[in-house]
Amino acid sequence: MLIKRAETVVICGAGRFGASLAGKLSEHGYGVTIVDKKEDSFRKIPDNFSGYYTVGDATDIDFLQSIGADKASFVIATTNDDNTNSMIGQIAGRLLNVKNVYIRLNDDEKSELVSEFDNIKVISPHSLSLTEFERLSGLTMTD
Amino acid sequence: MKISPDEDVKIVIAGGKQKADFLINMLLDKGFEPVVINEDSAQCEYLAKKYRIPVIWGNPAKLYTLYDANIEGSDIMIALHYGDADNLAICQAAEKLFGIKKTVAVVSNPKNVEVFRKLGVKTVISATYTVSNIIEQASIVGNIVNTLPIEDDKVVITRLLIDENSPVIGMQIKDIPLPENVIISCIIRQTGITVPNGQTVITKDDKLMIISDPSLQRKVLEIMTGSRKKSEA
Repeated sequence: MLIKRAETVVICGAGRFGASLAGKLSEHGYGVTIVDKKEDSFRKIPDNFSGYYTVGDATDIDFLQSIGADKASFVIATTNDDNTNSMIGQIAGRLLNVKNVYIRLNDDEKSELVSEFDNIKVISPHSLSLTEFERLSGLTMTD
Repeated sequence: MKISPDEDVKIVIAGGKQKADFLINMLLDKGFEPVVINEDSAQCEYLAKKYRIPVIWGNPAKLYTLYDANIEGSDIMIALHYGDADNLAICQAAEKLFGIKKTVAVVSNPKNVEVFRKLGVKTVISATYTVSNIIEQASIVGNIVNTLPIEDDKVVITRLLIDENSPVIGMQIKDIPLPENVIISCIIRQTGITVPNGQTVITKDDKLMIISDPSLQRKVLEIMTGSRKKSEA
């Protein structure tokens, strides 16, 4: 019988979003590795998480490769710093050729720095909040 | 390309403490007038007083600071901020959003020299990377004073000092097991310059000019100095 190898996901930044995403994805059968520069951050990882966590600098290309980011189906950069996320995303998406890269950017305008790369997608809490406000309030503010 | 002040080159320096200070001094000296962006207000005051140049107080790693600084149409962006990721963003923003063609970044992780180049930063500088390159080139031992490649690197001239550890001291050149295509062309001594022959005896403190195939340089150095490169030992 053929056993399909689980798809792997690398999450960089174990903040609230990164940690809960790690929990959800591992719950759904993905092989998750979560990285943070501080050991302390892993306390936020939920109990349902069954992947790996490792301390390191995800902007270091060799480190990313050492944790298998180059073979991952998804790399998600969710540190608290836009420029760090942008750099991780570009190393993963442009240099390690990861197919699906997601980066969180608080400053919407920075998404222009990666807009030309189809495999790097931006998650913008700012515009998501606006959309949610519109939905809840019934007001329309986007053109 | 060489640039000179009469072309009215606009240079932006983002971040940096001593590096920025030194660079501003040097640029002013050459007739350029750089614009400085720094997030440390004390540093801004210091630079503005010392150099009387435009200084913008703000974090250059944030886009709104760069917009406020009015750097559109500048020619060169030099990013000296703390984090490598910040300097990458500063250079990429400079190019993509402000049309600045030449970008220079200083990085602390030497691996980022290659990474940044591949990501489009034109010039990347790392002290560690530079030093390791110099060591690599000047390689192997301290005895090499100089090496000079000529004819598109098909021939190399190595200037080598024979110190007391050399195994060839007291040997005649004909007895030194040098490979073919290697010639000791000249020996520089206190007493003058000698063009050696097979009978010439190597003595301590001789400076040799050795002409060889570049691929044989390392072998020649091993034979002449008795040492091997550490990483290969």
